[in-house]
Amino acid sequence: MSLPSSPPLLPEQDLPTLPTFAPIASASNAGLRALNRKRQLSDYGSPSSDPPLFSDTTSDGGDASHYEEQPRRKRLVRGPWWNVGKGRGQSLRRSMAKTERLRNGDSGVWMGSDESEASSDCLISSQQRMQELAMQDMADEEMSSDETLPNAEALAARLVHGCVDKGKEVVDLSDRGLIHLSNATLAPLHQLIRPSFVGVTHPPSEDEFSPLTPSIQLFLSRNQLTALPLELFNLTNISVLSLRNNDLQHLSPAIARLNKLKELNIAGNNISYLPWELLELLDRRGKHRQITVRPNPLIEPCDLSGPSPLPKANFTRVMQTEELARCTDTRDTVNNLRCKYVAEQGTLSMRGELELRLKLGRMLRIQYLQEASKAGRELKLCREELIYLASSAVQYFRGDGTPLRRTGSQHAGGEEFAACLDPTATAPSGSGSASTAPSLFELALHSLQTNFNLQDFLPKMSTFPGISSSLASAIRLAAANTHGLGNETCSTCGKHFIIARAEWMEYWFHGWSSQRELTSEAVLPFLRRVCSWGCARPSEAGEFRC
Amino acid sequence: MASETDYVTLISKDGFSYVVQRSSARISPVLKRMLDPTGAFLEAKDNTCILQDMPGIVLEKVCEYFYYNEKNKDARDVPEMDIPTELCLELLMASDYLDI
Ligand SMILES: [Zn+2]
Repeated sequence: MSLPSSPPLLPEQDLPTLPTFAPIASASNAGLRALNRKRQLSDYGSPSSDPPLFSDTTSDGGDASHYEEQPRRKRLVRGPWWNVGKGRGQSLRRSMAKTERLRNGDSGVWMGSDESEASSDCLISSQQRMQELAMQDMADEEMSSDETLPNAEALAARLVHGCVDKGKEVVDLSDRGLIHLSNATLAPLHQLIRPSFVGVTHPPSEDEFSPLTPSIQLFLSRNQLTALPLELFNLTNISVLSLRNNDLQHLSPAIARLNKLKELNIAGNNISYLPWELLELLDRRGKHRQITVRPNPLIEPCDLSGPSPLPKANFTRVMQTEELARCTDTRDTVNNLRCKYVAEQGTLSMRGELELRLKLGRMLRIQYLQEASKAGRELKLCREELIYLASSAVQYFRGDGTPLRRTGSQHAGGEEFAACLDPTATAPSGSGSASTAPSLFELALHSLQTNFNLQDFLPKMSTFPGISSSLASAIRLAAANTHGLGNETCSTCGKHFIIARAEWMEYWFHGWSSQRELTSEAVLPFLRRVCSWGCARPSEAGEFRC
Repeated sequence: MASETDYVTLISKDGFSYVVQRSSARISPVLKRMLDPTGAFLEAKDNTCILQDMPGIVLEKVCEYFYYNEKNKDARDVPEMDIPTELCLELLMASDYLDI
């Protein structure tokens, strides 16, 4: 998240009635403000001529034309927002000071280059200073459960520093008994540079710079991590990341930020579904990536044990190339197969449906590749197929993030995410139900998130009876996003959002083309979340990635 | 029972009234219920809703949103609607109440 680009507004000369920032004044105002707030909020809901809590006092609320004249001008407001604006200023200053410090620390690495006769003492002292800074950061880190930094993590921090000092790209923190890993422990890896250039005495030129960029291999396997530090997803120079054998329950969508990743291992965790963004990583588009997902307790679209319900001879036979070329409409061919099955054997089970869809996806994929090669386009193929199979029922959410209608039992062993034939059957009806426009709630929440320091506002929120519990949790989420990795990305339109309006699970086949029958090992569940009801459009049968 | 008109009137707590298309106001389940002619609410009788807790300056923005949503419900690249900084918490509460 970027820092606010402008400082908070200060009282202007033409607004003489507004209070100043003087601490004494604010202290004496505090009681008054609390009173004011209380009265205001108990009035919420009854007719009152009091001016609104946060609107500009200079506009009497009714003078619409006056309001229209200067719609964009930010004006000072009275009430608790004073505190918010003020807090924002302070923390901005604080974080600016922090950046300054860090920058000084950074330049210390290049001390030798800044001045030709800089002594090695100078270098050492600057390294020490950097370490001190890192330790300070560690102390700053708010960790409620950590009065004493656990030995395991202190050791990990030392190992990380060792790697940074030596320019070692393989950072092995595996088997260290880590139960928690903080941002500060990993942050020094930002300073890691390739070893061959550590001794140089001149600043690197443009050409020399890219070889300096390390290719970090971070091993965190065989620990007891239940969560990953956010800083991990900012280390974009990671090429190998092993999280094997930990206690992770989720993999953050932010994994997609690590775009230099060549190898990812999340096997042996407690992960039941994958973020949609991982599909993009699996869809290599020519990049060679090795992603190991299993074993993990991944949820399944339906029962995939036992033999296929489809008789082998008729249904799962491979289509010959010339046969495919004759298929003017591949979808019709598969529909005919379905009708044939229903006529001969009765109702088609979900498992059978998925196998027909797999067949459809495979046929369409081969046709696509044939056309591409006819057109002379060269395609870099993955060896594995990535074919859409099915979706769970879409769960819709209201503007404030509460579920619209329960679909299935909640979190009962993945039952709620069982594959279904019509995922959007529960779509809300009525005008605007398929709108892709953001809700007013989202728009206002986003404005709140960008213009105020929510971190300072959160502690005061409980004193606000006008804020419903769903609104409070929405504000907390917005604050957490600012503090962490930013807002989520819509899996359909790519827009950022704070409150998801719908989510569902998509099951994709990920396996070899030689595999005839569906097995649970070849099906991956991906959770999709979207910004609007209109974006709740699951993939369609026959979709594939190359 | 009054007949359903194309337009409805929304009145703020400080007495400002806004006339909006019924279809666009109905995206709020709360307003939809209040204005339902088959319902029991008095509001439906004269196609008018009094929003006792909403100042005019907020209601005006809410009405602006009704039209913004109407205009952009099928749009591919939806433009951002301008939310005045000083109103964002009140608009948040209003949208929470109206469920929009
Ligand atoms: Zn979207």
